[in-house]
Amino acid sequence: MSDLMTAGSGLQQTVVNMGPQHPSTHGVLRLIVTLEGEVIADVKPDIGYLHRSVEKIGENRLYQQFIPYTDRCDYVGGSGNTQAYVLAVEKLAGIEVPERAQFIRVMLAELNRLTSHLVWLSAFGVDMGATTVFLYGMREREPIMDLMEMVTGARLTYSWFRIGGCPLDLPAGFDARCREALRHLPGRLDEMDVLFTGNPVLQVRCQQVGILPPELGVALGASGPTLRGSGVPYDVRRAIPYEIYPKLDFAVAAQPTCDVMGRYLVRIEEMRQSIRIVEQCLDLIPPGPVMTKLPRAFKPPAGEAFAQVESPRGHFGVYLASDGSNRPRRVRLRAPSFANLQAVPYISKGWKLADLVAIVGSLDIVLGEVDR
Amino acid sequence: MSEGEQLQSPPPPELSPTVEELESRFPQAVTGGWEQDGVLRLEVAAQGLLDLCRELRDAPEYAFDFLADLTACELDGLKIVYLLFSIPHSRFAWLHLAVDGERPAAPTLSEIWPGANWFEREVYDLFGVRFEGHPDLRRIMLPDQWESHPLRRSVPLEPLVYPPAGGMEVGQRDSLLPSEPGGEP
Repeated sequence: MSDLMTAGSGLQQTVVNMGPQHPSTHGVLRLIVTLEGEVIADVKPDIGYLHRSVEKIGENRLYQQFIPYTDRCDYVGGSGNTQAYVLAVEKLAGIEVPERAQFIRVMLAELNRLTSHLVWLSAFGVDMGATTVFLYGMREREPIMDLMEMVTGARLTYSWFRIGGCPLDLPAGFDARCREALRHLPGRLDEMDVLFTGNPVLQVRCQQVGILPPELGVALGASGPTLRGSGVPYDVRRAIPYEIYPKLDFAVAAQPTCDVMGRYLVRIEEMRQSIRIVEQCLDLIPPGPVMTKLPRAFKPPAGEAFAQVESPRGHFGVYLASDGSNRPRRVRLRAPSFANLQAVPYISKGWKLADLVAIVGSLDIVLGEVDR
Repeated sequence: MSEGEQLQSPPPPELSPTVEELESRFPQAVTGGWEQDGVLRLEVAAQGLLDLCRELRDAPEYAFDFLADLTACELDGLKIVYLLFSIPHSRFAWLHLAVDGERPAAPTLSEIWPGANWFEREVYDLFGVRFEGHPDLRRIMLPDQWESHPLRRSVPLEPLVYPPAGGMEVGQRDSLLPSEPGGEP
């Protein structure tokens, strides 16, 4: 806790409204901040401004028709959402996915993790006032988005995975272009490390700020870099492996410091690990089919299933209930940002209003998945 | 798979000593269950649920410290679905609590897993389930003035008439703001 805690100091409390339109709240998030002077006494997040009742819509769509909706939840890292949904449907219906399709899905999900973390880095920098890193991050993202466009036709919301695999094989020349795109990235990440991570202003603003104790993080259901920045090495790809992750060699990034800086360093390290994973996939991918054919009138048996992936924001879960018809009875999307955002009141008390920007930025929330 | 071929349903799960032990120790809370592929599925009831959950969280052989999901589903009747995960043991516990369809209510788990707070608010908002003992049970996604619980089956999937936007009247106070010191303005 900050030694600037002044609760009980006798200062009058002021209530300040941050959002829902605000450049630093990363979407339509409203924070009702109770201040004593400049020190935060309480924060109440108010969400629901982007609620589009996606779960209700899912009850009136065919299983295949729901796929584009999954991308729009966490719209920055959409592949993770779609992957979790198709994995859940495949589990429900007992569908086996060809190995080549699994490699392609993992590769695209990891490339999406890279673009998502680069967006986070850019936005986090801008929130801190370091505007240079914003365009550095966006520049590094462009070759990867060109790769995704080459494969899927889209730059951000791909809606490309299908129940049973992938709709198409990788285009010719993908291997060479992918290696080329990733070749420069580690060097550029080092550059950004020098420019940004090593910056004394950033270090003062991020070190020891917004401490999330590991037991509290686990009890709140926080996951992803938010939890791994508190030293808990819980990564769905390692703990509950899915697709072909058991065949890949990568390290789970975790930091013991529990502060904003810890969460920051976890994401930088995850980017480096994602590059490793994509290169391994390019080396190991086998030839073969990319799709398991499904009956045209796809009706999974009655029952329930759940699946989860490690999205760029954490544990993204999907729970499906089927009544045997061609539409789901229940589609539940468990968004990591929803649980991570719950931590904000616990970890920002005693800090200043400007620190709140760093703290919320370090959780890397996307309101599309918070509100659905 | 050719068109018209039936998809095979999964084989029935095997009997489990864990479920039997929990049934004998918490006879009111645990009414059934099975174990398959590392998932401990339990049918539970509200009576004694808190003691069961505390045991599932604290006992070292269970150690379900992470509340992965808390939601509701209206398949055959309304039920609350809890998905617990044990980070030390890498396994899931999947609890299903049947609740009354007319006046759905369940005990809150927010004292055991603080993360349940917002998940229960969401289930209250979208399904109308009242969580007894919840510290702050109010809507989370929809505006406070909204009148229906949209994810219930009784609310139609495609409305014929769109309801009012749920906006505030002039002069109405935002329920989240504290009242002015010294009384109403």
